Amino acid sequence: MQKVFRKTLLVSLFLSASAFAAESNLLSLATNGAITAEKSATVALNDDEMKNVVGGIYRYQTTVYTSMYKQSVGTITEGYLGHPAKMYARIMNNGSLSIWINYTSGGYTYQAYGTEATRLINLYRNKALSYL
Amino acid sequence: MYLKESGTGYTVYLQNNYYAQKNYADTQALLSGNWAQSGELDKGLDDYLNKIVDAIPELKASQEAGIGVGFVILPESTSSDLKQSVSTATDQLIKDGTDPDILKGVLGIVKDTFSLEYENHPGYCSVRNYESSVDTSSLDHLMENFKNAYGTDKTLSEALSKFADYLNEIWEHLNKQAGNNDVGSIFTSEGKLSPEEKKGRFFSASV
Repeated sequence: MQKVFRKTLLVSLFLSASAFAAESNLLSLATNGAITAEKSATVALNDDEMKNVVGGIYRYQTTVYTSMYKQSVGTITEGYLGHPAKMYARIMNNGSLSIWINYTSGGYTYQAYGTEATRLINLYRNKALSYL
Repeated sequence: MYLKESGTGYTVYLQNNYYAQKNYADTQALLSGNWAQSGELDKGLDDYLNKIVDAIPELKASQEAGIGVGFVILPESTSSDLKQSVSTATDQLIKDGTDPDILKGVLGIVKDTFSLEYENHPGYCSVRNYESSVDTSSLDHLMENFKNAYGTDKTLSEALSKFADYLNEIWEHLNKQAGNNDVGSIFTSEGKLSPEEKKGRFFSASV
């Protein structure tokens, strides 16, 4: 629960705008003024929190449909432990949702396990789900 | 035990021919079962996209907050309409002093909020009660650019015919986020404008 609390806290911290208020709001410009820093709350990350947060990039790749499920596939650009990696999100016809990561090594494909896999799933799960 | 999570994220829609072509080849390898033979990790892509993230403070903050930034890479074209639509989104960014080589392909950025309950298992994660919504202003802005870029230029459509399925997937996704269903395709599978589009009716639906 502490992790969840921390993540929730960090999410809210991300909404912080004070750090950007003095800078040109590039995001506002790229969204035609739809999003501005001024709309966000004011909080700041402390040093300890900054040490524990790492994020990356999920690049959408494709969506696959079958008679039993719909599945999105995206590339985790940082890879999985140095290997090419993709995140799969699948919704079955009964509505159940699952997410996992596959990676390649030596010409074979494997499913990722362990703490690094969990870290990556936690980082990108929302992006993968958004395409279902 | 399921845990709750909620937050805010961003997805950047970016035009880059080089990586669009690589994405296309990678997808074909994936769908044909040959992905494992497709090579090593492309660190260049990660570096390139992270430069874009670094150039926009809000996106950088998202990464630092532990929320991955989404990217959708789209093909470019020589279409003047397309160039104009990209400029709409990026001219001000460039004027503001940001490296034009980094941001010149940004077609738009969409902000989303989400909530879900998740349970991590060895090797996979189960999710329930997933809900998300997007900032409609930023989505409308992107969809307008997307239409200008890919929906109204026959030459562009033919030139990029192999991306038809991919562009249709993205168009469907954007419309779903906007709450529009059954909007049809932006391209036919032959890479030409659909009959409805030729008649000028395709984009009559509100987006």
